[in-house]
Amino acid sequence: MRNAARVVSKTMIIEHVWGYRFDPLTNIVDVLVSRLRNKVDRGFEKKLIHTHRGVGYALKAS
Amino acid sequence: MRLKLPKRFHKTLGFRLTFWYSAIFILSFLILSVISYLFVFSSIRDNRAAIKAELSEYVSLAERDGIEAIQIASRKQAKPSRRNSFFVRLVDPDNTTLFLSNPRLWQPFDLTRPQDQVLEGQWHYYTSKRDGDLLEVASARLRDNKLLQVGKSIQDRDDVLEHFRDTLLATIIPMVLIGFAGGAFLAFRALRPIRNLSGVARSIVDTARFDARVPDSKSGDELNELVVLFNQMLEKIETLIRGLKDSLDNVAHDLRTPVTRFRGTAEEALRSGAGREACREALADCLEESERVMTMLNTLMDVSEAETGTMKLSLENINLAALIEEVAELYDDVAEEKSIKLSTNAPNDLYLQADRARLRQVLANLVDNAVKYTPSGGRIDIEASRKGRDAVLLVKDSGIGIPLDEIPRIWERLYRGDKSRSQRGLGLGLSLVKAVVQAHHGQVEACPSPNGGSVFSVYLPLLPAA
Repeated sequence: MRNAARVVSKTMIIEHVWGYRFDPLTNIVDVLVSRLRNKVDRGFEKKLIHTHRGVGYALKAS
Repeated sequence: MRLKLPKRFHKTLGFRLTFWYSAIFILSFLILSVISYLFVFSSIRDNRAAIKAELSEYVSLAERDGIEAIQIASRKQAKPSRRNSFFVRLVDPDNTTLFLSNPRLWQPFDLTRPQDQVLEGQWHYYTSKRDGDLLEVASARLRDNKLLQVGKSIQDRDDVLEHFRDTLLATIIPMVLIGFAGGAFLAFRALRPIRNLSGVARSIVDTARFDARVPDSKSGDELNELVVLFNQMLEKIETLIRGLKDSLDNVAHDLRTPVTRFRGTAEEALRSGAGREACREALADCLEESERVMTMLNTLMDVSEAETGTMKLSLENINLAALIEEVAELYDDVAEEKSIKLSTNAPNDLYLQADRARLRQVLANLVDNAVKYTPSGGRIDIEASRKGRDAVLLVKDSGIGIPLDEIPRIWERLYRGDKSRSQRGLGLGLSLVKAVVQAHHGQVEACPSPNGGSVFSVYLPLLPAA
């Protein structure tokens, strides 16, 4: 929740989740986020996870 | 260039070699001449010593065996020329010749001497009436008051020395010429590889073409070694330049596509007077594309740093099994998403000294490839084992495999096999793997797996067991 409503990049997510800098080659983060989305947003009208193409992802209630 | 040559001629190595060679040659010839002249000179100067020795021999002969013995001995040593025979004469007190060895030789000398001169123990000279030759004579008084004279001609001595001097002077000029010619010939021969070398170097400077090679004489000497090394260096430079040029070509080619796409996207967004949303969309496209280009450039830099050995590695002790687990965890979700079974199998006692982040990238690239080219329902195995002093890291997949003829090329930068073109990627992943592993003094290998798919092997030196 520290970065609520802020857009975070894929690299930031990797660094935060796995604890080190890493150059993602494929869609590791995309897959992770889509699984997260399945768990968080499925079945709700209001989405919490938003994709900002080219930049990253954001978690906000809108 | 050619016209300048004579001006700087005295500075050329060829000239200096010639000069020193002939200088040493001539100098040693002169020294040899002087030494032999002095030697001949002193050996001829030994006249007096020889006469004295001969005289004392005759004296003791006369004391022991009488005067007849002198006659026999002197006849025995007599030779037809003045140069090597001794003058032996026996006179009574009033200078009457009692005996003269080899009269034919010594008769022409004026042997009369004034009575008052004391001959004994003195050196004196008789002059030849015929040719002015001098006879150097020593005398000794025998017991019966007879005088024994032994002598030698000294004319030949001067003749020999003069002749010797003339010969030396006459040979000096040919010797100087021979010395110079020999020096020039040697310098010419010795410098031939160097001439070839500078010819090739000049042609490279002039034409900027690196395919020229210096002819190899195969003589195995130092200059030949230089030539061989020079050729090897050219070979290496040519390879490096070709590599650089190729990857530059590739980069230019690979940049053209995204840049075209940038333009297309931007133009589209501007032209249609599209709404705010469409513009956002276009910008996002551009960002994504630029991200890709950045990754490509960074990876390319990494590859070339690792290849040229300028990559900074922060080495630390790494447990291979732990590293494998990290990477496997990273790809767990992706694999699960594609219904690929990702399993690991590594003993816990393999330790390496390596740069953790780089090695993780290596393994991740291999796993990433495996995930990309393995269809749903396949499996990927990451295994590690010990083989001699190396750790062997295997990434096996049950994917589409690599055609045999492409295997040698998959490690090349920006190479994309026919089957891999459909996949998203840069064509740099394996180049980075190979470059980083080699920077860690390891080896990489790819081969088709017997039951379909491929096996990528990485050999890395193990830390010696502590």
